[in-house]
Amino acid sequence: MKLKKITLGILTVIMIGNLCFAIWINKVTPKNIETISYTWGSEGDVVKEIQEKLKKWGYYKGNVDGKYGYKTWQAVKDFQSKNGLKADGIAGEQTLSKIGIQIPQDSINKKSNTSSYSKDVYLIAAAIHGEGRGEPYIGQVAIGAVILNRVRHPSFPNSIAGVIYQPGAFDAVSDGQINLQPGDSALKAARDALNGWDPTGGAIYYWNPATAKSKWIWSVPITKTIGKHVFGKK
Amino acid sequence: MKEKNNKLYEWKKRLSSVHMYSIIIIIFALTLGFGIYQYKQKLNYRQYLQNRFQQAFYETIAYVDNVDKLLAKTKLTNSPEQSASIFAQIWKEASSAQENLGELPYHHSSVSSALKFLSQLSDFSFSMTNKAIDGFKLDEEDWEKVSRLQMYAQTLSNELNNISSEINDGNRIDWEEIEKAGEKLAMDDSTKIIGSISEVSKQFQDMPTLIYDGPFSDHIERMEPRMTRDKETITKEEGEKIVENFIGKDKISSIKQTGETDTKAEYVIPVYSYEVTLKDQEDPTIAIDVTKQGGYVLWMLNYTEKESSDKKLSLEEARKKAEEFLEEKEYPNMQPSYYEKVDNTVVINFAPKENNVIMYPDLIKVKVSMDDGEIIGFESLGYIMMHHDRDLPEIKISEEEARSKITTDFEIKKVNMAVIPLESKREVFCYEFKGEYENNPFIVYINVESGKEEKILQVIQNENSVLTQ
Repeated sequence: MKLKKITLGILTVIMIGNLCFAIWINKVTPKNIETISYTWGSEGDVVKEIQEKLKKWGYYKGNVDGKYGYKTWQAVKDFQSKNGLKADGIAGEQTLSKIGIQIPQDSINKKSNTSSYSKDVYLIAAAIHGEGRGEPYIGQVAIGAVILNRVRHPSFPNSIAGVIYQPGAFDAVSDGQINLQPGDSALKAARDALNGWDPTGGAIYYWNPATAKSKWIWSVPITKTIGKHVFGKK
Repeated sequence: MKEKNNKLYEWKKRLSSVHMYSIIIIIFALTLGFGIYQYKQKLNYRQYLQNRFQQAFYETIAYVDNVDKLLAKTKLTNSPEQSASIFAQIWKEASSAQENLGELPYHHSSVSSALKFLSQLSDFSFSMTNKAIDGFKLDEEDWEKVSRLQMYAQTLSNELNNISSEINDGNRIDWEEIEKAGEKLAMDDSTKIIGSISEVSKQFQDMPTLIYDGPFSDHIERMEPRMTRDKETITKEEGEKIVENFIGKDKISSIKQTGETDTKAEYVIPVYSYEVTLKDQEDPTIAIDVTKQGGYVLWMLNYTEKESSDKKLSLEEARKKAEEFLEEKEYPNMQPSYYEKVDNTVVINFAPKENNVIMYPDLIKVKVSMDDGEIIGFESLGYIMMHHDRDLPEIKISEEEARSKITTDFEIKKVNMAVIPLESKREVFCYEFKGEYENNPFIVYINVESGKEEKILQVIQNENSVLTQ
């Protein structure tokens, strides 16, 4: 009898676990690009500034402590509904500019920089970031160079997007890591690759000898080894 | 009393276990429901993907069929105008076929030769279109290429139509299976999968080299670097000396050789690779490749994270630094042609000027830090591949005549003589007219022999990229 109860208990736990896991998987997989916004739990100088301004205008009655809590949330919500914004209590870019707060300089810089990078740079940088985040800088430039060498090679699609999104060509595309926001290093590497720096000696393939499952890939003559990757050309 | 208690206890127990069961049943039902929902969604996505692949597959077939028919027609044309029109159609159809085939989840090894064939066919047709437009009739050699290409187009078309008739017999292509099996197919063909194109790749393996005037022609892959061929091979110690001189001995704390080009690789410039640690750094921050033949620095990249200072160099000052650097490294008379500024660095393109002619193929790029004017990058692949003493053809068209070939609305501001590379790497000797058309900067190149307009470049100018005058 006792045993039965324990089994039942364990079963329940497993099932609840399953359910939670399934929901978590669903929630976690889409990777959103970060946008600037402040809400519950946010802290810091910007929050302080929000509180100060809203207090001055009579929306906020709490302390100016730089902690985004219930009172701040309520105040932002009031402010938003009075100013024709979506009253969600989240201080996003629109709300911040209405309040008259300069979004911190570095995040502005980052934004305008990424948009001034051309589409090609961004696309290649995303592929580099997804494929070789942990690689030395030259290894990152090398990945970008391989993409560009493929564009110029007749056996591959003839555009950057065509090469990157060719089915099965890059693991980072297959598993969605290409959707991560590329870091500064990847952007810089993409720029260098587009400007003509090719550390690979014209390679059109690369693989990681430790994880490459393909036997076929070893038939490709190797040109160079950089970091964890082997580069080759056929 | 005791009996009653017992009963109550049992009843309670039953209730609790009933309770327990119902909770379990509810959770089970929820999980099941969730699972079914997920499964259905998965089926939907899968179907969507299958349909996308199916569409790309059928389009590939249609385009390849068209290519096949059009190639047959070319033989019947007898005027350049007609040839031009048909080759232009082949150019488009082959390029679309290539695009669609590239979207299918075939393993690279089974599809690469077919992709290459379609790229080259499309590219070849484009060059034939141009030839015909220039008023030339196709010669014997061209026709021989056309027949050969047609043979392969037929093979590809037949093979694809075989697959499509398999589908018509009620079989379905399971693209997931193809994706998984791709690797195996390339290794052994014992498994026959509906829709596999391993047969095609086998028949295309011995495709002869195709040389014509276009960027995908086989000659580009096989070009030999002009600077390094027939030069003495250096040792890696000699290479280290070259690195030392290039960067400056007094700045270096250590040099480490990180690798060298495998001798088995074909059509690459063999190099020694080095990593340099500077005196004020702990880790290596410079990567540099030196060619084994002749000991030229192929490229160098300094990737130190610099703290940006307020003191910024102007473009003019950065250019001076780059020019001094090139002079010192014995690349004399280098003419800057284009700047590209990113963050706090600028990449400047240089080409040598010989007897007042700018040699654009012999490209060298220099990257300069705008913070302190340090040279943080050098790239000379173009120079090493192309630089040589050129026998320039005789000038048959005067500047005046060349001017008259350009539309009068084009306001010419500067004229140079230049050798420019076409996409096929063929070099042509031209007048370079820099100027404006409707307030947009353009460069027009007119061949000095034939007066043909070889190239028109639109200069995209913004704060970050500047073309020199």
